[in-house]
Amino acid sequence: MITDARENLPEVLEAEVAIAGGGPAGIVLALELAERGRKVLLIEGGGRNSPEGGMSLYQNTTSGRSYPLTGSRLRWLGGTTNHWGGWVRPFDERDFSDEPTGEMPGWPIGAGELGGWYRKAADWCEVGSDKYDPERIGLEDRARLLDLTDTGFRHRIFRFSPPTRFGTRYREALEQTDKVDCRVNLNLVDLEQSDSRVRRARAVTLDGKACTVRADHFVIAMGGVENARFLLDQEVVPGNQSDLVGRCFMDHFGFTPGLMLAAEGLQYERGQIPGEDLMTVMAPEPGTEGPNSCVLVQATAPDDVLPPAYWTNPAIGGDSAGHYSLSMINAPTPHPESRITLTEERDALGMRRPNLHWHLPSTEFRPVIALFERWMDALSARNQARIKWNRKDAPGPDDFVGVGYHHMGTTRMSSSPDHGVVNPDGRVWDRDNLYIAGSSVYPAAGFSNPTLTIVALASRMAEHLHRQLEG
Amino acid sequence: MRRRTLLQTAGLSFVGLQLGLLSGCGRDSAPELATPPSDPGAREALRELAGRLNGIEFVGPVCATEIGEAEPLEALLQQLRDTPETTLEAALLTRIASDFANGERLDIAGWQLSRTECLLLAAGAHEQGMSEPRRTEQGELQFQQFAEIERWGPEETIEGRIFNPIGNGRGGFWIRVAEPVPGSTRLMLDGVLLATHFEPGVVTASLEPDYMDEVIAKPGMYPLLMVDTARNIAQRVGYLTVRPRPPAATLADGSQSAVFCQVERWGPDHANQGQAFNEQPDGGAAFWVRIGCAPRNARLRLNGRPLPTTVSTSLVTARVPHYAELEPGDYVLDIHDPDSGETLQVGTFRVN
Ligand SMILES: Cc1cc2nc3c(=O)[nH]c(=O)nc-3n(C[C@H](O)[C@H](O)[C@H](O)COP(=O)(O)OP(=O)(O)OC[C@H]3O[C@@H](n4cnc5c(N)ncnc54)[C@H](O)[C@@H]3O)c2cc1C
Repeated sequence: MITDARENLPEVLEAEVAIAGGGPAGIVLALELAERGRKVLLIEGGGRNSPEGGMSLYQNTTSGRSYPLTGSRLRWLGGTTNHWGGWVRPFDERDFSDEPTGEMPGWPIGAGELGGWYRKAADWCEVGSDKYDPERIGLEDRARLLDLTDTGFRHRIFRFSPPTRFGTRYREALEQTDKVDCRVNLNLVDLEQSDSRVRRARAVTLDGKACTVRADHFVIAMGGVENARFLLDQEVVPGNQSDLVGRCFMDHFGFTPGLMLAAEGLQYERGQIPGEDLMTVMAPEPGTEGPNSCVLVQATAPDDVLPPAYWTNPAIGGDSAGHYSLSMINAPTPHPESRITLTEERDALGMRRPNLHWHLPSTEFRPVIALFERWMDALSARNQARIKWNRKDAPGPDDFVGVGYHHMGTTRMSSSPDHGVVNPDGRVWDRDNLYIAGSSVYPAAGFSNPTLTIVALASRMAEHLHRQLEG
Repeated sequence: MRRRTLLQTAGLSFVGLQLGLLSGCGRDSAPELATPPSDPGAREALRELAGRLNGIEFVGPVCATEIGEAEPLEALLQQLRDTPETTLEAALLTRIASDFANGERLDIAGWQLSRTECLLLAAGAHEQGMSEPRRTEQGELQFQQFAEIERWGPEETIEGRIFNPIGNGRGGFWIRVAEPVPGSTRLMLDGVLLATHFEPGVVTASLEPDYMDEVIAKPGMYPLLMVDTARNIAQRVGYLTVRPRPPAATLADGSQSAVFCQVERWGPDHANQGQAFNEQPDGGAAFWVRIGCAPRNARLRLNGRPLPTTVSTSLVTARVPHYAELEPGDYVLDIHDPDSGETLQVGTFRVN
């Protein structure tokens, strides 16, 4: 059932699990718990449909490298999936096992932990297939791709969600289940805590109504920035025993190194392979030095220095050719100084506004550029391509860098309270009944977009909470 | 728009392509390259190859200068003879591979070429009498059908209205195609290339907010082309028509509406109790309102009750799920825009 809290709000709302935030994390968690028979309260700050005036709550300031944060997040049912792009892929095995560069540790759970949950996530995100191994789908026999044998690189694939607008797609399910009490236009603002628990919470509407929320378990699923902002705004900041709430903000950053001359008609892009909705990229094999970044290939207009005719020459290409622009999606490093802090300015709900300091030093591009050079030499040596290397230097500290709008890392998951905010179940280390859902828990991120993993982790959390409630 | 030469004419068929990895086999090979490097005929074979090299108008002369060899062909032959390979082709490939493995590259306007490759190009420039580097000439876009377009849209909009909005001030086109088109395809509106994306069976393209503003500010017909930028060929898609904005509607308080245009016609204005008026294929009832313009989020309301509404360029329709419950009497039909807060009276609907 979905109710507009501005029209109907009792003094007390009660549930076994109270979830704040109706983006993909919150909606999937709510519906999965409902499926298990649990009574859920889903509190969504925005309305059913469009911003309805609440977007100004997201205004923020930034420092460090320029980052387009305002406007990237959406505050209405379905959250930011109301304008996401729908690119999906699970994290690679090495994303879980590699230690990230820098001082912070990586994931405390292995890839195997999410295997089955990723299959469920594919259903939630309406992705036609959960197969991501090019070999399993015979990709290299079906598509015209470069030969990466002995290059130290391999093909990897992205798949696509329609893209699922979670608020629209699952509205009917939320309306129909009597297990979920979904209140829109209701914002969670305060936690009343003891040393080890959240006793109750307070939620308010923008027009001044308020209610008390009681639950066995509380889940914060407000998005990658708001999760940290909300915790930091509490009188006692939960999970902050190591001063990590808000720190280690990461996003996948872009780099466009150049152009490629290679065989004509390569089928890397989306929509090129009949019967499959996927996009193919190149990424380092395990063991190849460098970050788990990937190279994307997009056909483009011919270059006037090295024209396609050049590739027809024997002993060089010997084939008809095309030009392709190259771009990279890069694995970020968790830097503690990359962080969300709160300013003194307050929003209409009285919550302090966030400042994002994005620390993406120029040095972070060095391993990326080195990886690209390795890829370029390997392909050129095998006469698969010639590369125009336009950008050999890292962008300067003030240069704009492309981002994925993937807000990760600010309530990181860890194997010990010394290195993170939540434990491997997503529970805040120093609170028995407070959980965080969403990409803010990622301690490392490879080059995969975050949402499939957000949904897989939400499904997994539903099972965990269900078992906790069983006692 | 920068127009480029039609350099590559080989047509592409993506239908049933079963090509697999590009392993190098099946590529063009030159018979003279089967000559052993130590063979007395190797010099002539290399000369022949150098004389026939394609696409070296820029890189050939630059390599000649960069390498600075008076006799590049001789230098190259010597290097190839130093390899254990038994054909010129194998020796060239080995040298090129080892150059890249050892960082022996030259940077020619960004292009990373192997030192050995550059030596060959220098010999080519020499043989072909090229001394000044020349960029490939830009040519005219040629018209040729290369995609099977099934449907496309939107074909029209109203002055000032973003068509097919996708957020952040952007909007764009969609085109259904029967077969995948080359990845180098871009849509071009009135000479401006658009950011183009591919999904199975669909090509979409978006206009940057500034360009969108420019287009929708000026009524007229804008030609839409599909261009394969790799082959410099174009195919006509159709025209986007930006219609002049019809007169603004007058609101109940006598003021001019900022978002609604005048209602031209609407219906039905009456029905018998329990009857599915303007009966739909599924047996339901519906209203239609012909209106010069209405915002996308506008909703028709019957006595204040919002109806599930669809807004298209000059037509607003709404289903009436509760038609069977309507008692005899008069009902106010209006159209409400939640974003601006404006409400426009449409008329009175009578149930007999
Ligand atoms: C332009 C763009 C393109 C993207 N493309 C992709 C892509 O292709 N692939 C991909 O994987 N990811 C993509 N993303 C990222 C993706 O949208 C997010 O990863 C995902 O939406 C995060 O889900 P979430 O549920 O954690 O948070 P959100 O989707 O942000 O939802 C959080 C919800 O919490 C609500 N909320 C916030 N504060 C409160 C409060 N105090 N009380 C109650 N409710 C509150 C909000 O209103 C919102 O509905 C993209 C993002 C953007 C901006």
